[in-house]
Amino acid sequence: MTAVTTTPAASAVPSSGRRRARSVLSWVLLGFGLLLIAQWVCDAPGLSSSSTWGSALRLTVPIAVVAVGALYSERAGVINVGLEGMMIGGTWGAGLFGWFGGPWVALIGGVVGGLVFGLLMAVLCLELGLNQLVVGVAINVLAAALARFLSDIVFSGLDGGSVARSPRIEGNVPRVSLPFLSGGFGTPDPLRDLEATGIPVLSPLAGIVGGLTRDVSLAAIIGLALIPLTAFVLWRTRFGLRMRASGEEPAALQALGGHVHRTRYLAVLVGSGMAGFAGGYLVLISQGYVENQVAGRGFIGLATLIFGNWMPGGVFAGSALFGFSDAVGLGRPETFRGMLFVLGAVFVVLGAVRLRRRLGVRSAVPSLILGAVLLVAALVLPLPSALATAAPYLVTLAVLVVAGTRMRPPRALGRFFPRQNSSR
Amino acid sequence: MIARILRTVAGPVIAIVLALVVTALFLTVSGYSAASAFEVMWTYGTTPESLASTVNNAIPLYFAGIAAAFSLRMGLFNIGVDGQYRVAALVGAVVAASLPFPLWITLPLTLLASAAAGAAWALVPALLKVYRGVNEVITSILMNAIATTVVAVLLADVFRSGGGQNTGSAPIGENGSMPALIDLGGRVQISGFLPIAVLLGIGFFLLHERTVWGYTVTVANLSPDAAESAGISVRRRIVTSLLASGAIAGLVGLPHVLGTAHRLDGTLPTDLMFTGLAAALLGRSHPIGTALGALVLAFVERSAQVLGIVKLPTEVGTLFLAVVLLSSALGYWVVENGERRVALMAAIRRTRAGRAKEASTR
Repeated sequence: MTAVTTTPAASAVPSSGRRRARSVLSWVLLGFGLLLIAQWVCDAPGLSSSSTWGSALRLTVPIAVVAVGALYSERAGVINVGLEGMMIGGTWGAGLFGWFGGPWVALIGGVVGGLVFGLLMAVLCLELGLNQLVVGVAINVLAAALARFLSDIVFSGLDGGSVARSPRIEGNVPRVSLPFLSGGFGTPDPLRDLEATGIPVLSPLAGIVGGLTRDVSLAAIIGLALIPLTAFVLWRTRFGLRMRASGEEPAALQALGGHVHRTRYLAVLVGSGMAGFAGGYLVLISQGYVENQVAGRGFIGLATLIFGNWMPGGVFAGSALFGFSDAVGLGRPETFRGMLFVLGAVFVVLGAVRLRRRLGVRSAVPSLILGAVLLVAALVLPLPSALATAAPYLVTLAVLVVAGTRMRPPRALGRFFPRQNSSR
Repeated sequence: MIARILRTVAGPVIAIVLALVVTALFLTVSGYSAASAFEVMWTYGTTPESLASTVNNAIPLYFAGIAAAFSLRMGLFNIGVDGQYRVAALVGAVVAASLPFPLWITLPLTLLASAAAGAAWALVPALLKVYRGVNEVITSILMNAIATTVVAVLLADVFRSGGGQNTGSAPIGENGSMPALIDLGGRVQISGFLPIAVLLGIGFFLLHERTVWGYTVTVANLSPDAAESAGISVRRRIVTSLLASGAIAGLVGLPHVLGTAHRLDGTLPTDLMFTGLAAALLGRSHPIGTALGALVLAFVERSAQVLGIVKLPTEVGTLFLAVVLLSSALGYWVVENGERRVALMAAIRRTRAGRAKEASTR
């Protein structure tokens, strides 16, 4: 969680590569140590089991992809509240395309489904200058209604399809494992054996690494690869520079001969395509379009984006945190307790550090109080087990309370740039 | 005067016509007869029972719309109405069922408790917005998701009454339920929440258009810097607006809890926020406009119910609502653009006439 506050600063100065690598390594070791302590205190072996980390990875991917997609459009100055709707469009498109042509075509269908709503949003917000929040909300409602209406017409007559389900998509994209460590390509799987032995430090480590490297779907790998790709495009290419300029100061971009509208169109379309891809990924997991399978992930992606301070590294940290707490919420109650303990400890330490560095009592007190509350909740309070379903939301909210001070959105975010002023 | 009325009416009319056209298009493309669908809906929707139910169903939409409008006036987007009304509905159901007082004490207390619960749920986004600079949309969305779990947990573990299949809170007796305002006989009633909605609309109008506080909110919304330099605390306006919005949102679930189900259970509608928001957008956050918007949307929702009986997809109603949300924004754009065009043409004509006059006098 501390990584969240450090990542944006760290990714802004990538020149000091070695120091950065060392600090990342020390944070990882610190986190691992804390995890071991929490596991011992709360008696929660689930915190480091390969099943928790495997499903954490699976649950991280859709959030990360949709949030990184939103990064494009918001960095270009267009608020994207319609992500949920674009994802719904993606799931429906993937259901339709996958029924024709299998899993890979389903992913393409997802992108297409997202693009349809992205185009609608781009035209309404960029050409007509309608309120971007209103258009986004409308797209969410419209996509949900359209998906149900069209399912009734297309899917409900088919074998295995209904108003809430597309026919089953046969087959899935290949899954890969790391060879010689997690049993990829027919090699032995030493990590699984090591996890089963129960040796104090090594077994949890084997569980974590094994969970992250065993049976990973190619679609997940593509999705995760989009994050560094986005970081590269936005900060290392001319297109990325233009995009960020149109989000900070569109008039300046235009004065230098750039095309604000063209850039913003592209940004919104790329973002919606990625939201659709995330929808397609969900469809591959459930092997077909299921109504309401998006379940607010588009909104969570938006929250993650803001949480990550509009930076790729922060977005990844946020979605990983969310995916992990989601996976924990699905597991046993002790695991949830253990996570609360980790979170509480981090907050208390963070508050203490802030107090010592004299960053002001005001920034330290909330994290100290919240940390103490979480520790008490983890160790003493009888928590109803159903509360764990809200784990990802509670965790995100708690981190926002502690870390929310240094947010800096793109300056022209949500501001309309009329075409009359544009060169074309 | 006539021009002014035309201008105010044109936006919503364009929006609704546009929504009708789009829905008809979808029906036709998918092989249904749009004309017969609309005809069936109209005949069913204009029966006395349907009209009464339209009025009743419009009331929660109006509450949600006014709640949204209250925050929109301060430039805030309270997407947390959803969670606020569900938490408040639980509080209202428990208070109304457990207080031993007669109706005239219980009812106001229930309303107050629900409003307080809604405001409390809005407090988190408000404080985070002011002290942490976190966008209220994000925190509200998280609070909505948390509300789902909290209500489910409380309903299952704490407030559940009876065992077995019963999954609702304790039933609300005569001394807690909202009485009917008008009884038309044959189970057709107008809900007692109607006067509350009317009072709320009047109060909203007076507060925002006729008081100093309302004026300071307008200033703080349009120009925070100007407001601060004039001694208006923008932070305080943000917190007050969001809390008031949450308090109004707290009333949204009550017509169902106190009037229909007489307890909180799984039948509480979950889409009231978005439909209410559509009503507010249709009516441009004006109390009268929002009321008309709520009535139109409730009418569509009610009349779409008949479509299932005549083997047409009932999703047409939802689709119509969704398109109205988009086209209401579009309708106002058309009107504004049209006005600008007309003004431009008039100005050009005036200059030309002036030049001609100049030329003739020379």
